[in-house]
Amino acid sequence: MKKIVYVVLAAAMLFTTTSVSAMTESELAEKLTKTYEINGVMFSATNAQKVEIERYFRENEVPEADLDFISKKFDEALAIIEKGDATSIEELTSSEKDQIVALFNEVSEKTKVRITLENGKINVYGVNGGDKPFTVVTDEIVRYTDGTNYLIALAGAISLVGVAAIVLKVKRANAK
Amino acid sequence: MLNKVKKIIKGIAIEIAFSLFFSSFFIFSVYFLFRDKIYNSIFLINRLIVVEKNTETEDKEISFDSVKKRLVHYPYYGEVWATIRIPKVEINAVVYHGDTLDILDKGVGHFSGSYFPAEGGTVIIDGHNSPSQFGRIPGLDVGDNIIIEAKYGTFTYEVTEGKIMKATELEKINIQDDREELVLYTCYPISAIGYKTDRYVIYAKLVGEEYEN
Repeated sequence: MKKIVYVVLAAAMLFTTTSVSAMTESELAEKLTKTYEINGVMFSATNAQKVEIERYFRENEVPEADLDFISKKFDEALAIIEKGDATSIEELTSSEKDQIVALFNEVSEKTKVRITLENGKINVYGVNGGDKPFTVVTDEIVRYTDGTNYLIALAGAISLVGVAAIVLKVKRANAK
Repeated sequence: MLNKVKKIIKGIAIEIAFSLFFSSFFIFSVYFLFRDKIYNSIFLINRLIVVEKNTETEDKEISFDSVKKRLVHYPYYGEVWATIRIPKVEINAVVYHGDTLDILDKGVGHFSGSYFPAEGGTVIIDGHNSPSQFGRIPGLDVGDNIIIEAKYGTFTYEVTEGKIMKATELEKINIQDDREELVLYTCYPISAIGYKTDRYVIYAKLVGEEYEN
């Protein structure tokens, strides 16, 4: 009888423990988009990044174990920032940035959420894998949208110089 | 002997200079006389390539959940999901999800950190200031229509404001989901040469929506 009670109690504890630590997608999304006070300054994802995070979890069914792992790595990233003196992402030291990048790589290797960093952009792939990223997260909203064709501009400049040279030549010839 | 060589080199240099001048003049003239036709041809070729590519690789049906006010499936980054038409200034361009420089070379881009039409938030679409993209948006007035034909429906917006802003000002735009707002922008001034720090920005409100079944 005692053995049965212990087994039932142990199972209940295990179940409760599992229920408490398992994270849902909406909980993780909320955690990633919250504002944190670190080194006296408020850190949070931008509104644009919040849109992307929520969209990712809406579209992708991330396994519970992966959600917990990502949550843990996020806590580690916050701890790295807290340990240093940075009051913005830009103020992180190279070593701190390397440590955070290592956390991204761990998430990529050990979960279905593959993340790659490329030229200041974060490519995030869907849980179904594939070559196409689900989204590319950047810091900035505004892009450089100048469609000027510099080859045409150069051709125009050369044309003007040529016309000027011909006009000068004709003037000199007439002056003689 | 040396004088002869110098004369030959001078002659060749003059020939090269004149060839360069005439070919540049030709390129420049053709560009300005036929610029719109060239851009329209490039646009049509891109549309054909995009239609072929989409037939091969499309594997998600993009539809809209009107209860949750969110798309059921989202396009991949770099995928075409709509066409934008602005009748007043004859703009008709494909819209890609994402707006990297590679994407903007093919069509106008939807900033992925903004909402999609009908999600009730800020929708940001940007394009180059060329005639086939957003080069003519400064010609829009309050009340003009902008139509986005997406894979999940057709959405009509009405221009509420058009203005010149610094890129740094636009960077602080509030991406919210309290009300639907369309923002289009492009580099400004349109035809000036050199690095541009200004953007021409159009704001528009949603006035009509029709959903695909």
